Amino acid sequence: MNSSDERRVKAPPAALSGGVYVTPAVLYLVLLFALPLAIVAGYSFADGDLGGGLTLENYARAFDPLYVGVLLRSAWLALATTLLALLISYPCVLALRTLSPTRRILTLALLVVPSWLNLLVKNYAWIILLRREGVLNSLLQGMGLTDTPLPLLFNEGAVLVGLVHTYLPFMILPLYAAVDRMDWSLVEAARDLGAGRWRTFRHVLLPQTRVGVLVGSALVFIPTLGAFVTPDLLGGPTSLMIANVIESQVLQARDWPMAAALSMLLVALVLLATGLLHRVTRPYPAAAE
Amino acid sequence: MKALHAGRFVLLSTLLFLYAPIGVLVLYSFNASRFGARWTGFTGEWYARLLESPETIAALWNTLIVSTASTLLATVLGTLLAIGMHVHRARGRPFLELLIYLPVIVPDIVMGVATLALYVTAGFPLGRASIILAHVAFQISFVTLVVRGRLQDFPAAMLDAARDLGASQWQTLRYVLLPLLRPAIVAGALVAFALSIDDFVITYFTAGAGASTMSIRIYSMIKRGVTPDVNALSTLLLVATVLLLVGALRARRGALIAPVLLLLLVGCTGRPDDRPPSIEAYGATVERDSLASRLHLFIWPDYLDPQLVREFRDAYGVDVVIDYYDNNEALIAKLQAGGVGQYDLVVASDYAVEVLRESELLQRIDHERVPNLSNLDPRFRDLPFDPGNEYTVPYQWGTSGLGIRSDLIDGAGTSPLDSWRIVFEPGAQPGPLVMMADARETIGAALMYLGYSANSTDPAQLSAAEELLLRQRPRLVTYAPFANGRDLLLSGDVAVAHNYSGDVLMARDEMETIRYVIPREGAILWTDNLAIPRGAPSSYTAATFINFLLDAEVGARLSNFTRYASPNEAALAHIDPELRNDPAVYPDSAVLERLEVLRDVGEARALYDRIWTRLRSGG
Repeated sequence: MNSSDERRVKAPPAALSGGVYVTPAVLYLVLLFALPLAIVAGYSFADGDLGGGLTLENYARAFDPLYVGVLLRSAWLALATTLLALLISYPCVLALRTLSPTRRILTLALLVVPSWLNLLVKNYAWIILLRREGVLNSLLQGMGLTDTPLPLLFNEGAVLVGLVHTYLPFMILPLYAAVDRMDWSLVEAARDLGAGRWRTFRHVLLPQTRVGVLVGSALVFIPTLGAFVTPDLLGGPTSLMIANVIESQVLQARDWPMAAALSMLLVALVLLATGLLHRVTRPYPAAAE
Repeated sequence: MKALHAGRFVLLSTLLFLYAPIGVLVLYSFNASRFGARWTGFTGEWYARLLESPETIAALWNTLIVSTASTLLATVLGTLLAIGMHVHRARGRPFLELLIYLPVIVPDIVMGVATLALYVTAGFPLGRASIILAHVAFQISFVTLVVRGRLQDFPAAMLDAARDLGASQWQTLRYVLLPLLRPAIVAGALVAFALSIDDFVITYFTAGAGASTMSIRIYSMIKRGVTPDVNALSTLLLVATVLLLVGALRARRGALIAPVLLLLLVGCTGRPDDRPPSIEAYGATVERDSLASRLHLFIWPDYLDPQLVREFRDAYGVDVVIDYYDNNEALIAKLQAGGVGQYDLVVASDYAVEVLRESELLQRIDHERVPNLSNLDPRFRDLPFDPGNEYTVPYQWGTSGLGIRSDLIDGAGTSPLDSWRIVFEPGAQPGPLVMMADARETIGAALMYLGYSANSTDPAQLSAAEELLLRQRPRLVTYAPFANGRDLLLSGDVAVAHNYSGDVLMARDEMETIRYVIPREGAILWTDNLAIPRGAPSSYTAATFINFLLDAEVGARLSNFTRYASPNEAALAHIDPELRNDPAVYPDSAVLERLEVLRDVGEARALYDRIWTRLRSGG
């Protein structure tokens, strides 16, 4: 606590008033963020109800292959969404550079605006497109590409499309920032030295935009892992994700301890992902790994 | 050059991917046709209908109150937090950082569940305030992050100068810091406002009676199916969001005022009200002063004629504020989790009444307030879950069977359709199929097909039903809430829908090729009942509404709208003859023999939950 002692000697009234400024928000977050989570943590160890005995049974139940399967599917969908978003975003961001400054800003804005639009509305739009008697099927039938309508909605594919559509802008923005900030003379140097397109990408572009890639991936992966609305609206009988199971434990089965244990596992996964990101985005030590 | 073209192609395709779905949605909000992808002409009708819907206006109003209030609170708290950390260097920096970043990271489903758990534990009532408090908790972080972004390149010399000139801390804040930070504070507030409007999951868990926001409203409309109304409402929300964004970019000062102005505008649309002291109507005398101005009703969607709501308001000056649920479990969960004390009146099915009574969540109905009780068919006066109607009054009754699009089924006529075989045997399935997203109904159907009771508690029988349903699952289009199943049948997404009788018949009114069958192996017979929760804000108003619904003519109009059978004997004479004589609505005694009423299965509930979770989770 050396540094804070020093600070206090230098500017005692300021340090004191700092406390006054932060107290309301801190109290608020302790009451309405930390306390609720603590209650859920408590429930996850509760034997039936809060105040009963402590038990690990809820976690034992949560590690049932049934729920592990759902967790794995959620992780898989989140990962697939992240990779697809990356695959789409990277060429987009590179192409943005070839535009004139005004057009670039305009196009970038167009790419990012959808992130502000309501999630339910965006997912609902896909229902209109993908349903059996929907726009896409009638187009396909009209062009004679298929005789019978295809089952496009209510499956994992629809969920994946909905997730990519929802979270794509979150990948584009940090990636654009990284590419924009990059030292492009290095790319020219690599090309001059005879590096092919792939080698330039692999050894020059990618290392320089690594932080952008990782931040974008985190911004897509973390909310996708806990996605509720998209699998609920676009998913079918077997494409629910962990958030849907948590919801039904609360609102259908009314099994709070189980919902709490699953919530804690989800939080742990998210923290793990964030921790990993934090490790690999630190400037240099990561390079040694 | 080739790379350049390829790059533009990727950009254009990405923009198309992002905007085409939204464009189609907006386009179809002007489509005259109610179903399918066919374009049948341009209309503004759906928008007009929206503006007439009191529920939509209420949702708009709730959204503005919730988002404005939470944004104001979060902006103050978040700005102070940023200033305290970066100007005054508050201690405990790592702790503060954690407190700022964690709310951004923790999934909203967890925060929704956790905040609900807090409210239940603390006995805090669900309503608008509960949503506002929950929103502030995730908004603070974003405000702080935006404001401190500005503070990081803040000219520190300004603060030193102010201090050297003898400014007090308050003066420094008021005349130096806040003016310089204003753009960042406004930006942070706008982010917070947008997040609040956009939030669905946390609102879904923390909303109380009559506090549905636009997100909740859109969600429940989507759950009922694809209709042009949803397209229109969605388009309006999109336009509002874009305007908010443009406003934020163009006039930073005005941006915060806009929502407040809107709020005032909506607030001015309230109606004046002149009411007589006591009201004689529908066979009862009601004291004006004892009535509340609002009645909070919790009910299945599409289950009450809006005309009747208007008539009740005109007669008694009471606004009926309606919230919806999709199945009995959701009703029970909401009442157990702080919903008691929120609703004046709920509608619960037979077995749900048993659960609610057992958890002491209902109160007795004062029969003196309900003289029209005498209109009730004697068969409905001594139902097993509530002999003598002490706690409940039957509302409607019906069966759960199969809705069939006879124009869409393969090989019509080759196999009989009045059997559960067509949904459970792969060879007999005549077309795309949806089952109800309701544990007791769907597991019950499987049990009955196997020749067991729909109330079975025998683990061996239940596991046989589970096997059957697991084999059926790959052949399903999906499990859908009943109202959505009705829509899928109408749109042709399915040819066979496991559904409630009245909802199929409602669809038949729109499409002649739809028919309803009660499978010959047996089906579930249910009664939905009006009940007053313990701690209802106004049980007097609730009893008045029950009496109103039991009026002969009102009861008939109720059934004419819902297409379900009425337990109101006096109403029968006024019900559409077509409906009254339909064996699908009023089955003859031979069919009634094969029907079974759902009971609470007690301890075996856990088995049902487990089967249901397995079916829904893809395990």
